[in-house]
Amino acid sequence: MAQRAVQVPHRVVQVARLIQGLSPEEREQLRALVPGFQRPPGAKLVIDKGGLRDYIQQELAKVGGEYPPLTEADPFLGGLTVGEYFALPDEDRERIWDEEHAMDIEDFEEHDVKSNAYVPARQKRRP
Amino acid sequence: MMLSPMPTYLLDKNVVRRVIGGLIHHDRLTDEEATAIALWRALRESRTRMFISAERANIMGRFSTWREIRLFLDTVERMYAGKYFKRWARRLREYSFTREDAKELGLATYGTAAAGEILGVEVIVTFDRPLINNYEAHRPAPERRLQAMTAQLSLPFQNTGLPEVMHPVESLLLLE
Repeated sequence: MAQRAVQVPHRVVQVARLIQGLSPEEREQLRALVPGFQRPPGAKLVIDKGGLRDYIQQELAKVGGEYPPLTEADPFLGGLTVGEYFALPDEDRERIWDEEHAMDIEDFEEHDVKSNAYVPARQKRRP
Repeated sequence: MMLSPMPTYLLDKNVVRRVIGGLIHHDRLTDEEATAIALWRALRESRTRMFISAERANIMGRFSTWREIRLFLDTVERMYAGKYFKRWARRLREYSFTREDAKELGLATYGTAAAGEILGVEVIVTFDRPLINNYEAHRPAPERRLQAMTAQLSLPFQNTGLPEVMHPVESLLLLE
């Protein structure tokens, strides 16, 4: 999986984006020009929530001996408890979350960077 | 230049929010929480370096004695503003990016890890469609601006580039 993540070239991602922006009619025209470009039937992303739940429980168990689980009564963001926070509509939770991250650009402290630092975006721009 | 075999992702705050929400309420995952958790899992399993802003990590750190928050924080690294972050983030604001978007994009280009051995990331992953669309629509202009700016800078700052900005579903399809 790791190799696939780094092996998709930048230009492929750009082409994918171009295709996403095409109208249905334009997509048909593209398929006519590139017959081998049919979308495979199984290409749609399917997420198995049950499998994810099992994965989360397994991962939580690894740290559960050392750290207690959050309960509904524990304090959380916005001065609310966990229970109160998650009882809110998603828009309200998003607003509270955003308010906690309202730092101004000028308030950031700039940290030192090594002169030989690795620059990932450069690697993508000039593969 | 240092070489890193691991891809690098910056998780936007809306992705962090959904991963945390999913970890806390994993018995009733929403679709977006499930997508965020699936991506978090895929990135962990692919040994991708996941970053969140130090600002965000500080806020979550207040709750790090609880297992759900601890689990998440143990899997991500803090991304700090590096030199020229402020200058670049201010310039990004000129291209219709909100302050929050400019901070995120600024970190993706001029952010660094705690040891200062990395500058920027390859990908920002976000649920924010307006940010993705705005970025794609305006990308050539800030790209030219960045090239002009970096030409005046020393190493490694002259090597920086713009990240990809992707929706989690798009990232997952690439990782599958």
